[in-house]
Amino acid sequence: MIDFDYKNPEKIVFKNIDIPGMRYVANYRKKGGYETARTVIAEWKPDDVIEEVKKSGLRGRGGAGFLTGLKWSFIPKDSPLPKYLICNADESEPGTFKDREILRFDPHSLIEGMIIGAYAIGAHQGYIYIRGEFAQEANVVNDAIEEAYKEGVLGKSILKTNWDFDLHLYRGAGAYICGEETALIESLEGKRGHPRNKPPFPAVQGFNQSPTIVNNVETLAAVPYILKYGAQGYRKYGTEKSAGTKLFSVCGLIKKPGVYEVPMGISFKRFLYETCGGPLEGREFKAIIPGGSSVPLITREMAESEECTMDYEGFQKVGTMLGSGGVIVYDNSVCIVRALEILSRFYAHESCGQCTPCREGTGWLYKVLHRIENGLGHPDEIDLIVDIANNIDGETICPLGDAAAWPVQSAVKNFRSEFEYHITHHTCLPGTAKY
Amino acid sequence: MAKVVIDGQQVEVREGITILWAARQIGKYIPTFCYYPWFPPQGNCRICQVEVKGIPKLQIACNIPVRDGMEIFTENERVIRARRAVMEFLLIHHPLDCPICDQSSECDLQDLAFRHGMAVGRYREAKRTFPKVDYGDKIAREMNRCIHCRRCIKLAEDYMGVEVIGALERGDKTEIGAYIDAIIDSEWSGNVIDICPVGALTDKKFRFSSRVWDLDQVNAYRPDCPHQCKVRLGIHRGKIQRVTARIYNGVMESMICDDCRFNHYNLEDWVLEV
Ligand SMILES: Cc1cc2nc3c(=O)[nH]c(=O)nc-3n(C[C@H](O)[C@H](O)[C@H](O)COP(=O)(O)O)c2cc1C
Ligand code: SF4
Repeated sequence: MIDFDYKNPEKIVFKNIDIPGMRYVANYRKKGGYETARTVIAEWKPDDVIEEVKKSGLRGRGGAGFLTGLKWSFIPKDSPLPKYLICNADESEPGTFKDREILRFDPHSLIEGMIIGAYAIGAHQGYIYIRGEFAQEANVVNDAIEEAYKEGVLGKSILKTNWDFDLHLYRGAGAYICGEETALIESLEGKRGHPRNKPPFPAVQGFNQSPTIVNNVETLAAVPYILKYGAQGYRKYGTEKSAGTKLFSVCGLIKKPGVYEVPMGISFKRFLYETCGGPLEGREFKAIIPGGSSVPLITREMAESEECTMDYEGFQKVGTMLGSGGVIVYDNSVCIVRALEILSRFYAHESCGQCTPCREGTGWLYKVLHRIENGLGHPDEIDLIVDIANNIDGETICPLGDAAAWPVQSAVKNFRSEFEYHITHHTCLPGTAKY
Repeated sequence: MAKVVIDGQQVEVREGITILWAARQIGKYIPTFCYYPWFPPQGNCRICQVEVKGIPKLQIACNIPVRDGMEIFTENERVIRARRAVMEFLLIHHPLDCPICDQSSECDLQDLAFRHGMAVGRYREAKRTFPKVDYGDKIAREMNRCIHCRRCIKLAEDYMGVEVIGALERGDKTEIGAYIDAIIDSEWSGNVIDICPVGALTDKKFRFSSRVWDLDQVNAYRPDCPHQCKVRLGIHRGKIQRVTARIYNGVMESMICDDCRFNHYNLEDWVLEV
């Protein structure tokens, strides 16, 4: 396990987060901003940039955890088509609110990361697809882009090199599904946000049928650091397979919710108790979702076990996933059935309605859970919801179907008695409340 | 050429064709709803899922090209379970009104429910219903029967050249419709009836006039038609009950114009190909 000062988390991606005024390009440049991007474009070959990112072991922070350098290397070199780099800022997963801090307080780190990424894959056009509800953040990013154009950081011959890069901001209309990369591309093309079948993957056929890379905000914001201090510098943090730091947005019934940057591989239990202050007075944790609502939920015992470290492998060992790092904490005052009902309602509402299992299954799940929660469930319906979830899991076009199924499967597995209590007593467990 | 094994059977097929076509070449049956050979696979119905050795998730046969050495299972337990699951999902909201449905006996959903449907429904909630919308005197839309395969949308976009129908709403409230009135303006609008695999879009003039299995189906053409449409007449008791495109193995031979489809119920207008 990584040794770490739990009270004072270190900062890489968040290095500028507490410095006032970093959204202005002048302040950002005073701190040495855009120097890395300039050096990279002037002195590095694109392939070396990709190689360095590969070596750093940076993995996508959007949820899937795919190696970023490897993804960039899938862009066909000999394609005559234009290439695109898209930043996925459609952060709409319940429990995840980490990208917002970067967009709000340090947009230039993101822009610098995009410049480097675009140079590496040979893109002259970039887009930031921002969540529709982020009105204020969109203004900040928009101002940052405008300032960057005035400063010669974007546009023609950027940063006094011979590289051109145009960056555009595109506001979504508030659909969770448009965070899925292929749906995002469809939406950016002006169509309904429907995920596409894979293959072909966006790296080969994405935006406007051209090679496209979609990356999360946090992923791109970590890139300047990697190029500045080298892959080894980044690997100082984290573990062998989960290199670097990760932002965790902690919410729910816990003393100090918020967004924390920690190196991967530290103890989850100590993070919850020492960094985030532990449960509220007189309560104790009951269940935790560690990676945004789309990952399986775990019990307190699993979360506090020795092997549960805050990295991709650690969370996998206890049967869940790191996901996007949105930690949702439920304590013993929460009715799990009610919590699950709320999650299912979200997925039923956000299903795009394209493929059969997710379109029909998510709505069905919600209806059954709604009845169970309100004391109208039948004894056989606990197995029924697991069966519906199993039938959705893995059989859909995009992972939203899986994301709807996993919380159900894990909640029934870990808290079956609570469901049974609802069915036999037609009410919630004593001491738990509806939130 | 690629050598693949389908359910233990060695076959050699052209590189790059999909699993679906490779299986069809040796007469293996893989069901489909949203797939139509006229346009690229959409992959939204999920009924054609098969297992490919080495890939953990089931794959849709209509979209995955075969590769040399691939081993494919089209009827093992896992595949059948997935098909049953998809059938259950498609049927939870279906009104099951086959006795009064004009598509009955020509319906893909009915055929597959017979093959893979469950005898008992597990759905206890209220079924979803959509308000009735009148789309003129040619096409009857019964949205409650729709399985959201979206073939009609694709046909309108790619073959009629009118982007007038599409999906409204999301999730299980998704409705196919909106601009369907405009489709009626197209000279080819009636073809959405033939492309609909279920009874969601039916011929308003044929409604409740005869059962499909009572019809004598005869190929014909109309010398006056500027498009020389190749049609099939459905004749019962010496009268034309309906006019459709010629459908072979579930696929239209070609589209037919609305004039042929809706306006000529006189046997004298037609030259029968018998
Ligand atoms: C339903 C759904 C919603 C998603 N929402 C987001 C999102 O809001 N932000 C994000 O960065 N990635 C989201 N993703 C993940 C993206 O599809 C994609 O994996 C990611 O943008 C890739 O970037 P990365 O490699 O930097 O992680 C979502 C995926 C799914 C299936
Ligand atoms: S899984 Fe759900 S959200 Fe994803 S494509 Fe299918 S219907 Fe749409």
